[in-house]
Amino acid sequence: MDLAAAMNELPEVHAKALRLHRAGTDASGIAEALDIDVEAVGPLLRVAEAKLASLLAAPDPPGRLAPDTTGQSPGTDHEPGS
Amino acid sequence: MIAHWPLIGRREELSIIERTLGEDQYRGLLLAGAPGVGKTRLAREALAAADAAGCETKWAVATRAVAAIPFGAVAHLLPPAEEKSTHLQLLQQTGQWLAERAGGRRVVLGIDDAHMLDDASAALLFHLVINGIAFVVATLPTGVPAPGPVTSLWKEGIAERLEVQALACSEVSQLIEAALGGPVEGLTRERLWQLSRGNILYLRELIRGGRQTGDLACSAGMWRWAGPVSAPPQLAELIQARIGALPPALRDLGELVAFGEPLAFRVLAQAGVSAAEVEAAERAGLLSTEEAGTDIRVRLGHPLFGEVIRSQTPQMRRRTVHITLAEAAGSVGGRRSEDAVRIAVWHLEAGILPEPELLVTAAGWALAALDYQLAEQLCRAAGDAGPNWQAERLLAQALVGRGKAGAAEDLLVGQFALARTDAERTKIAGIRALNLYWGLNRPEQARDVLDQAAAHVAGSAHRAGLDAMRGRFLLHAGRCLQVLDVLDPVLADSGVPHRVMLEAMATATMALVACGRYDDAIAVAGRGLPLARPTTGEGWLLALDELASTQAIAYLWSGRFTATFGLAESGYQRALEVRSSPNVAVWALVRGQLAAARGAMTEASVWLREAIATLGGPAPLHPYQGSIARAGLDALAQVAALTADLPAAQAALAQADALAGPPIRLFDTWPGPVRAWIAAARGDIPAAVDLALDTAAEARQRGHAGGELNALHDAARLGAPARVAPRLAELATVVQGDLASLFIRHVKAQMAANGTGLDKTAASFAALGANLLAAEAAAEAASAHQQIGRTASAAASAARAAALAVTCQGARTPALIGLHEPASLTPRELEIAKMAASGLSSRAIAARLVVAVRTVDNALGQVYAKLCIGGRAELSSIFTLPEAALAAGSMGSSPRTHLAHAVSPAG
Repeated sequence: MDLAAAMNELPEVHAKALRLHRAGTDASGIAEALDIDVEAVGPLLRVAEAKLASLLAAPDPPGRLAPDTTGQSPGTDHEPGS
Repeated sequence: MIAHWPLIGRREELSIIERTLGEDQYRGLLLAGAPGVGKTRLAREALAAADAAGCETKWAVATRAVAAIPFGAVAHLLPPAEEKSTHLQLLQQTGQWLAERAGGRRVVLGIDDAHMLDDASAALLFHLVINGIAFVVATLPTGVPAPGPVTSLWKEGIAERLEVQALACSEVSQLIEAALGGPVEGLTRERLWQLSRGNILYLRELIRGGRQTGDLACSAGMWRWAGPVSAPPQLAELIQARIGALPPALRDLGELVAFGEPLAFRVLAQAGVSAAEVEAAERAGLLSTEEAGTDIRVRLGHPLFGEVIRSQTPQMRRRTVHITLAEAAGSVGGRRSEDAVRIAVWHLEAGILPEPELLVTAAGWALAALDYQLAEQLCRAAGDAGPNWQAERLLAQALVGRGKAGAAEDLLVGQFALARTDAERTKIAGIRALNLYWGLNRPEQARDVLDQAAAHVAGSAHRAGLDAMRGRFLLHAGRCLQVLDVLDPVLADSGVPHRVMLEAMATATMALVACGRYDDAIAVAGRGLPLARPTTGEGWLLALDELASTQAIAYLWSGRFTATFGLAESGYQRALEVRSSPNVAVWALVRGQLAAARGAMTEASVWLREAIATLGGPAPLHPYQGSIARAGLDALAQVAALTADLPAAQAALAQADALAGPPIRLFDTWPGPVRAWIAAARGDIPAAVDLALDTAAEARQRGHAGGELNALHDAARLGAPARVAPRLAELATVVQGDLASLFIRHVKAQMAANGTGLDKTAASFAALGANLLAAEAAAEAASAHQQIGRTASAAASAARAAALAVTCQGARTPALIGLHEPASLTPRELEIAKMAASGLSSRAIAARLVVAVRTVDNALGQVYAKLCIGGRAELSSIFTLPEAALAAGSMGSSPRTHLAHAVSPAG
C-alpha cells in the first residue's frame, strides 16, 4: 500500500498526529491541535507510526501485481486481519 | 447474541503496552480515551498478557457508588484489618501483603475508571507504584479531571499515558464481520461506521439492538440492515445522559445543529449563536467544526447525537427550530445551491409553505441527488400553491424514479403538448419513453414516443438526445451493431449537450464491450468520464458509474486486472459514500467478476451476494435493478458451478429466472455459459460443451464477439478445443486485448497436447493473475507430459497446478479433476514456503518470523504433504510462478479477503 492510501486508512487522530509531526510541529503544538496532554504525544505518535508501518507493509491489491505494472516489486503476504 | 467480540485494530497498542510492561522505564500505563473507545478491553488484554508472562495480576473498578468510601475501589486488595493502623501504615501493610502473596512475581494492578478513585485508593495506587511494588494499568476518560496522585503518575513521568483512539473505518468493517461471523453488505458496514465512528461501545449496542429488533439479519449468507438504523434504548440513554449534563444554552445549540447539520457558522451566527458558544460546545464534545472555504462548517460531535436529540425534542420546539433555521439560512442567501432543498424542507417542517420557485428549485436538486421521495414531496407542495407546469414535470420524474410508473404516465401523457421548447419536448419524451420501456414494459410504445418527438423537434442537439435514448433501447435488446450505427453521428457531434453525450457514450461503451472492442470502449469511456460531474445535471452519478463500470469490464475482459481493480475500488467507495444502492450493487458485481476471473471463488461469491443483497428489499425491484440482480445471480451460479456446488448454482439460477421485468438481452451472454458450467458440475461434459457452443452461437448471432470468444474458450476448457479453434482464430482479428491471442495459444497447445506450450500458457495466465485458467492449463500440461513419458516434467506441472489451485478457494473444474486435491495452504505456510523456495534456510526463516526453527520445519512438512512434493528443490520449481498468481487467491487489501477462509464459496 502506498503512503497516501495508508494515511487514509489510519484512524483520523493518528493520521492528523503524523501529518503534524512530519510538518515539523513540536509536541506541544500537536498536543494543542489534538486537545490531548503533551505527555501523551510521544506514545500516540509511536502507535501511529507502528500502524502506518503495518499498512505500508500490507500487500498491494491484486491488480497492482499484474504484469502491466512491470518493475513493481511483488507484494508480501500477510495474514487476514493483520 | 454475540458472546465475545474479537479484539481487532489494537495490535500496535498492545505491542506498546507489552513493551512498557517489559521495560523498567515506566512503572505504569494510563490508557486514556473517549467513553466507549475500548480502554477497558485493552487494559484487560494487558493484564491477560501480564498474567501469561507469569505476573500476579489484580483488577479493581472505581465507580461513583464507592467513590465516597475510603479505599472503596480497592477494598478487596487490602490485608485483613489491623486495629489502630494509621493511613500510612495501612498503605505499607497493603504493599507488603501484596508482595508476599505474589511470591516474588511482579504485581500488575489494573484500575478501571481511575478518575473516580477515592483519595485513599488513589494514594494507595501512588504508593504501590512509586515504591515499585506494583505496575499499574489504569483507564480514565480524556478531558475529565483525575485525582492528584493519578495525574502525578504521568505528569511526573512515572507512568506512560496512551491515548486510545476510535477504530478506523476498515477496522470497523473487520470487527463487524468477525463479530457477526460472516460477510456484511457494504451499505450496512458504511452505515454502522458512520453511526459509530469507530466507537466500539456504540457499535456493539447498535448491533445488539439490530439483532434484537430483527433489522440486522443474515439472508443467503449476507448480513444486511433493512430499514433505517436507530440508536437502541440503552445507547440512547447513554447519549441522553451525556447531553443532559450540558448547560441549557449548549443544549439549545445542539438542537439547532441536530435539525440542520451540517450548518455554516454564518447561518448559526444569523440565528444568534456566538463563536464562544460554538467553541464551548466543541470543547464539550457536543459539536465538531471544520473549515469550509471562508466559513466554518458545524456538525454534531457524533452522528448518533442527532438522532437522540431529535427524538427528545418536543413538537413545538421543533417548529421553532425549523423556523429559526429557515429564516437564518434564507437571510444569508443559500438559494442558488442545494441549500434550497434544506431551506424548503425546513419551511415545510415548520408548517409554512414557501414560495413555489424555491420548492421547484429544491425538487430539481433532490432529483439530482436521486432522492425521489423528497422530490415528490416538494413537487406536491409546489402544486398545493396552484397549477405549476414545472413542478408537474419534475413530479413525473420523481414518480418514475419511485417506480410509480402508471401515475407517472398519467402525468406525462399530457405534458408533451404543453411543452414550449424543443428542449422541453425532448426531455418529456425521453422520460416518458424510459417509463414506458422500463416501468410499464411497453417497448414498442416507447419507440413510438421517440419517433413522434423526433417529428416535432428541429435542433440537431435535441434529435441527438432522442437518438441517444433510441440507442439505449437497441442496446437493451442486444442489437449492439445497430447501437453503434445510431450513435456514431451523436458521438461525432461536438455540439451535443454534455448530458446527452454522456448517455450516448455510456451506451456506446457497453455496445463496444459486447462486440469485443475493448480498447475502443476504454477510449470512449475515457472521453466521457471527465464530462460526468455534478454540473452535468440530474443523474450525473449514474452516468459516471455506468461509464466507469463498463470501462472496468472492458479492462477485465481484455485481461487488465490492474485497471479493473482501481476503478472498482474507487467506484465502490464513491457509491457507498452517497449511499446509492444500485451503484453499490453495480460495483459489487464488477468486483465479484474480477475476483472470479482471478480464481478467488470465495471472494467472488461474497461480492456477488452483496450485489444481490444490496438490491434486495421489501419493495419489488425496479426493472433496471432487476437486470443487475439477474446478472449477479447468473455470475453467482457460475461461481458455484465452478466450485462444484450444484445446489447453490441451481438455486441462484432459479432465483434469476424468477425475476420479473423486461430482460436486458445484452446480458444474456455476458457472464458466460452459466448452464454449461452447471452441466459440467453435474458431470455431463458432452452437454456442457454443447451448451457452451450454444451460448457462443447466440452471442455470434447478436454480434457479441466478446461473449462469443469467452464461451468458445470455455468449450475448450471443457475438453473441445478442436471444435472451437477455427472460429477462435477468426475472432482474434476482431476482439481486442491480449486475452484473445492467449486463448488461441492455449487452444492450439491443447490440440497438439503440447506440454511445454501448455506450461507457457499457464505461466501467461498466471502472470495476468488468472489463477484458475493457469491452474487448468498447468494440469493439462501435466497430462500432456505424462502421455509421452516425461514424468519429471509432468510432476513439475502437476505441482504448479496444485499450487495454483490452492489459491482458487475451492474451484473444481473438469480440467482439475485428476489433479491431486491439496488442502489449502495457510497464509503462514504460504509465507514460509515462498521464503524456503527463495533459498532461505529454516534458521533464517525462523529468525525473520521470530519463531522457532522447529515451527518452520513443521510448517514446511505440512506444505510438502499438501502439495505432494518431496522437498525444497520441487518447492522452488513451484514458487517460481509469478507473484501475482500465488497472491491472487488470498491477498489484497479488499475488505473481503479476510473472509476467504471463513466462508465457503457457495455460502
